[in-house]
Amino acid sequence: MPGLDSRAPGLSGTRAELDDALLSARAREGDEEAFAALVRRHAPTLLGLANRILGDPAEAEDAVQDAFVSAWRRLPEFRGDAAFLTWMYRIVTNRCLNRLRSRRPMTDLDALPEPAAPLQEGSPARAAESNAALADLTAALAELSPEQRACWVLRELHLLSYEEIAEAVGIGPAAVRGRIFRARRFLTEAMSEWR
Amino acid sequence: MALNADRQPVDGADDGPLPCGRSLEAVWEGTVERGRSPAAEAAHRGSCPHCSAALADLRTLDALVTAARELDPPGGTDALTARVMDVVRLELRPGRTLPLGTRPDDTGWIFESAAARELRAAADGLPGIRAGSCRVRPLDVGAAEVGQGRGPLRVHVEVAASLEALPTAAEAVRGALFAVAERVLGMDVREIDVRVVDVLHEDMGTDGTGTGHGPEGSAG
Repeated sequence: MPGLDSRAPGLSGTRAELDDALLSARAREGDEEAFAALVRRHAPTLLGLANRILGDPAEAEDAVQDAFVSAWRRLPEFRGDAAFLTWMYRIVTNRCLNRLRSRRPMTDLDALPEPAAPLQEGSPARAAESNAALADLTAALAELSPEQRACWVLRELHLLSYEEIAEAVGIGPAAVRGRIFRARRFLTEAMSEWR
Repeated sequence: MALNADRQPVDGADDGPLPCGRSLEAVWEGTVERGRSPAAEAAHRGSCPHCSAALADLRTLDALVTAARELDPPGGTDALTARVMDVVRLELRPGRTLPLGTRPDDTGWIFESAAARELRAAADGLPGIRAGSCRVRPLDVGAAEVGQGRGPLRVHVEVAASLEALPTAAEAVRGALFAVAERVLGMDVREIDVRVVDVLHEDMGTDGTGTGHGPEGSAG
């Protein structure tokens, strides 16, 4: 089970972090090929995050693309005291929440697009029951507030710490804790029929 | 707050305890609330249907979350990468221009990013070495700012080195970079500062963008 105990699912901890540190130092100094390597490496993880927060694959692609372009522009100020991926989590989360905020005035929740990219995408061999449960989880996630959803996804699916989530979402760690608790309570109730 | 619609779990809307009086948070975290005895709580939780149901619900969610986490992230990000890089290549940061040549009548220039690319590649070509930051500056900063910027140069390079390469890393990098600066780039580099910023482990150093060789084959 690679990735379960690592901060960045699919990567192998130290090695990836070291490579990221070297590559982001190069990219900061204008090496676009190093930046391309970082984009290739992290785009799938960040696209997964954006998909789950936005519930719309096309919009998620736009958000992640914007986030990487913004990262390239801001790299000269990137101090490297946070890991590159943590920094990207922050930029992507921010982009996604801004998109949700800007579309709120014209929609209520019922008008939000149904999540088009259920969590089980890419795993055709799963049992139907498990697929149905995961689809239900995706649907339940869509009912959380954007901040609750972002906090919960960053914590439970991307394994970020409360402090990292607080920075990514732009609220305090206590507020993060509260949002995750309420999200978890809502989701346990929504999913209790699968017990 | 503005982001909460009426169907969403609103802060404080349903914060009451379970029907047995226990807080959901305490039951989930296995903590004992103030004023209750640990022994009595253990007995209560073993028999209370509300506490058991709360824990069973949490386990159900946890199992689903584990399954969701193990799924592969979405693939097919090549097009996304290409679109990002299309924008990036319109907004390159080539850095300052540096003088080429060692004679007074030389007039060529090179962008710092282009010079750094060659220098990093030279470091990456050494066994057990990977280069990170690489900056090229006038040797005498004051003189260069007064004049036209022509004059001898100094390189600062940061590398990660394997344990095997570590003892001789600075000398090896310095030698490789001097050679490339002189023979490939034709730059008047007089000093090279090498900083080893990290240690590469056994299986590292063969991946990424560089052309680096792994440290003496992959053991095991």
